[in-house]
Amino acid sequence: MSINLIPPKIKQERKLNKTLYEAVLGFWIIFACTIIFASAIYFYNSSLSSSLQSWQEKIDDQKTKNKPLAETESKIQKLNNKLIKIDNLITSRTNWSTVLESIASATPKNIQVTNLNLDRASGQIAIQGIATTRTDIAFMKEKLEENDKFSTVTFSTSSFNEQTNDYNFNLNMNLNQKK
Amino acid sequence: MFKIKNITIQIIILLVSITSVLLFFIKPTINEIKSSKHSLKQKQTDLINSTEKYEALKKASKNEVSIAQIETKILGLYPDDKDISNFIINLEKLAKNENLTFNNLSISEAKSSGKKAEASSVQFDFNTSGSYQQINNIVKKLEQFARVNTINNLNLSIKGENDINLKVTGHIYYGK
Repeated sequence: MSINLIPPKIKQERKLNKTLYEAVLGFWIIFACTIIFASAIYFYNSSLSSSLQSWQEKIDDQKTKNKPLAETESKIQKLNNKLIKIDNLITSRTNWSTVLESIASATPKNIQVTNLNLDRASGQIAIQGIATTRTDIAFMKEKLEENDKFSTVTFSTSSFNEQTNDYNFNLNMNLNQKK
Repeated sequence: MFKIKNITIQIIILLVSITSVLLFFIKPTINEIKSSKHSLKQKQTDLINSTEKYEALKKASKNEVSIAQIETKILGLYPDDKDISNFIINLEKLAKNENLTFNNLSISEAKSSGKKAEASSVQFDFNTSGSYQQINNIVKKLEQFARVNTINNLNLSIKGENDINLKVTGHIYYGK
């Protein structure tokens, strides 16, 4: 059995010294770790920079390779732009031949169309004609209304011509245009 | 007492050094790494795109003949300039094929609405007379014409099945 005869003041001082040494050692270890980590990221960053540089060189090489083909590229680009414009014009325009065919197929045999005006900007179609009976005009109006190309078919006037024994009429309608 | 003071100074110096390394080296380097990684990814994508473009252009340049053919067709549909004379020649040919003659053919500068996206165009008007079949055919053929066009107004005055007067107002387009 040993007896510690060291006075409590010195004992306390030694304890404090030990704690301080441990703290210093701890900070040195943290400092060393920080330096090691800083070095590691420094090297990683350097390798990334050189990798970036090599990729840039590859891109520059590829661009140099692409240069002689720039003329073909601009030609294709120009043609593509034109094709887009052509496509827009063709898809947005009205195919009047199908409109004419639809009007012709809706016209009964007893009706003679004398004037037909089709306007794209207003979407208005005006039909003037001669019919033997008002029933024929009504039939034509009904047929036109059934066609989804046309809307708001209005039968504006019809007058009986005593000399020719038939009816002059006007039909107006809207063309359902593509949007 | 002197020892304690010495150790405390040491700890303070170490703390200041660690903080400085963290703040002035590690943090900016990590940020730099982040941005480098991002630009590396970007560069890899750029290279892939550039290589793909090269391969496509190489293939395309081998087919220069077909590009030239496509270009001729597209320029026919939508020329760089007004090219009115060619349009008139083709329109006359079209009429001749249908045994029609134009009583009146006029070309005028189209009124622009001032919209930037609007295509440059030239307005054309013509009058012709024929049978319903001839008129229907010429309207159909105008839709498939070698020069892209839009018909804005169509007027038919019908005197008899074989005597229909057609008046057309339309636009042809041009530009680069």
